[in-house]
Amino acid sequence: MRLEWGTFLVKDAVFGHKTQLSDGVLSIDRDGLRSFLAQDPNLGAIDVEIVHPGDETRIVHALDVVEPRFKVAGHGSTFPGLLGPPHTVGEGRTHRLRGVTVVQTADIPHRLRPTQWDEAIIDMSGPGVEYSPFGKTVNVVVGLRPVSGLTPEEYDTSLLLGGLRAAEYLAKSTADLQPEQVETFELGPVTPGLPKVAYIRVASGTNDVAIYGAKSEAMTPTLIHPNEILDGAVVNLNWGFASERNVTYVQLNNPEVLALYRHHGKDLNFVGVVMSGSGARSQWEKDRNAEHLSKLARLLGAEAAIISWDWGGSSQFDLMLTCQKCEKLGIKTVLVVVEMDQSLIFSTPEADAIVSPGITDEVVELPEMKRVIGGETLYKTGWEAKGRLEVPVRYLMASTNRLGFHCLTARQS
Amino acid sequence: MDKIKVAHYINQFFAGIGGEEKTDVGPAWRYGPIGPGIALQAALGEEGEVVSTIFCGDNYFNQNLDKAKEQVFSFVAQASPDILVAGPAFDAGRYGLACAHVCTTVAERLNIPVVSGMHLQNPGVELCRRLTYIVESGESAAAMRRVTAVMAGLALKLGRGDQIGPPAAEGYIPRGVRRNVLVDKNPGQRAVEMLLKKLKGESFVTELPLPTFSPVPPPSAIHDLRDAVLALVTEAGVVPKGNPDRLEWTRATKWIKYDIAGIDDLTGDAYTSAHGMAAGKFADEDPDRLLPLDVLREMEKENVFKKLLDHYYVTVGNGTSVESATKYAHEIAKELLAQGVDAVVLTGT
Repeated sequence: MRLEWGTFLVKDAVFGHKTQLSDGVLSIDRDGLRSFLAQDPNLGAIDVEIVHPGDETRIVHALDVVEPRFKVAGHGSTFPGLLGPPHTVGEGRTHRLRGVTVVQTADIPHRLRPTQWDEAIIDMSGPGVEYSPFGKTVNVVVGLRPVSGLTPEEYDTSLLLGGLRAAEYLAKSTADLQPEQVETFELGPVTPGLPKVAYIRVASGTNDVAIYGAKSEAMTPTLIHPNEILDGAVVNLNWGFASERNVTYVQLNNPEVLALYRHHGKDLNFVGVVMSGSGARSQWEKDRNAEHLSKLARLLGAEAAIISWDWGGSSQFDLMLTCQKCEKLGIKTVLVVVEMDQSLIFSTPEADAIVSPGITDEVVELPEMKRVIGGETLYKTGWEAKGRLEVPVRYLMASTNRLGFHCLTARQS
Repeated sequence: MDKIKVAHYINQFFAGIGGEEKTDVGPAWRYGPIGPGIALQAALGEEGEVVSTIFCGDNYFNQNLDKAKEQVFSFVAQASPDILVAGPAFDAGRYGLACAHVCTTVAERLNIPVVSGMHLQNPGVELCRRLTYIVESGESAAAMRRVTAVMAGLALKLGRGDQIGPPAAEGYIPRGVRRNVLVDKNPGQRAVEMLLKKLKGESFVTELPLPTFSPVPPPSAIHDLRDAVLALVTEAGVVPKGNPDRLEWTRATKWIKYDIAGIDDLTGDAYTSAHGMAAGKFADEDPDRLLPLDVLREMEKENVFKKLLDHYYVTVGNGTSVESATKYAHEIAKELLAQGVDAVVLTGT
């Protein structure tokens, strides 16, 4: 399986008559994008705005962040299972726009809000910029308002598809262009003797990700090729705590997969990805998931594994159990564990190597902004969105995301 | 720039009042530095000024805790300092505890930085480390000059609003507080590098040391349940419908008790769950799933046990720190004991 990422560097985005990329400037046909999204009859008003790094602008009510992607060659489609049939991706060529994102925002009516629905802020200037990977990108903010009378499921689907479609629409403009950079991902044969390393993803909730479009609820842990992850087979469905949110942009640029690929053939042999689909609720399920994850890693011949974990207290047990079972099978592990005030409520002594993407409870001060996009007041607190805010890092989009896309860590002080 | 105003707390011995025979003297204060304050002032130099020294006998402080805290606090507040420095107390336990109480009270109520100096084993450390930069002083007062110099350096940095470096570099005891730091590599890259070291058997440093929890030994078994008073306690957030006391769905800041005298069954019309993960369909269909009042009432009627306490205790465990949970547990347990409760059915989510 050989995947090429064709990357286009986008320096700026502006509104124009036609959606096209030239000299690093992405021109966006605002009405064209709106009518493209309006193919979904469940979407009512659609607002499109562009914000730039340095703007005194705050985005609130952000749901997800998506990297513009378009599958130009190879099996499958852009976001398979959602924008096309659930056909295997990870081969051929996919174009991606770097430096620009699509951010969906929505003011979700209270009765439709899922349990895990939290405020998410992106500041384009001030101290908040350091805390989100999306304070330094040009963001195309797509404000979506589904029509009334939808079921919660229909509502969520419209918001999810709206963001993915906008991302595909923007990247499709590069279909006939030659990318500036091409990076190839292939798990080819490597020098014998290099240690075999797998990546294990321990899921947490029941609706955290869609794999080929399907909610992964109660899925038996499975093998997946890292190229499938890099090519859009996994998208984010979780709209919980903003800082910990593994937004779709982060899923597409999975930092563990990319880091393992970059060492592949040099000092290790990346053998594949094992993932569970959802967090286990019962002891039986936890045991089964951890058994399957560690067994599949062994089936790949792994001598070592990086284990990332999504969130939650109950699923810490899943994480630690998986770590313990791997170590017992002789698979050495490093865990990626985001921190809260109380970081770990359960641990096993085998978990002696942990990488921390940061702590969610640190409080930051954000200055008043000139402009706010997405809503007037913050969810739950009701604070004026534009004003000076004193909030935990938890509110800042993907700042301490659990896959570790941002360069934060937490240290003793 | 104005000089940074420092208030200094010391005990009766260092204030020159007297030793063991004078530990019962109450709080007092003087303008300017006294005793170790002289060395502190010398280390502060031109940038800072010890404007007031507050002192108290160690026994007086610890035996009249609430009163002493209040008196010392009012003397500190009256000096309107930018910083409070307490001690150093070295390994003196009562002095360390007094410093710790003064530090936490001042940090919480005046919201100014506080600096102290103690031996790592001083009982005051645990009490105030989260709010206080405590310089590791060693046991002996012979290190006074060195320790006050480090304390003065921290006080000046805090007074100027400078970034404080990590504990080892600055010489203070880790506060148990973790802060975000921006680094060059993302966690994926760091994880691969750590894994390669682990594979080669090279040394590596985990970024998140595993926590240690103090074990809670279970009490001895109840001899005869028929004589026992039982209580219901839960972290599942079971509350009257509408959550009148606004129990938080996560990171609970409180526990609450609700009356259940005369109630045999929790119904979804009257009760719900505030817990972020337990709330929803299953809780609303039958709140007894989270707090099994129905079954306990039946057992009570069958005389399986003597009596169920007339109210239950509730908080939310979802994301609530072990520190807070421990505090709630102590408070609830104290009430349970006072009411003669022998055993608790403790439900979690």
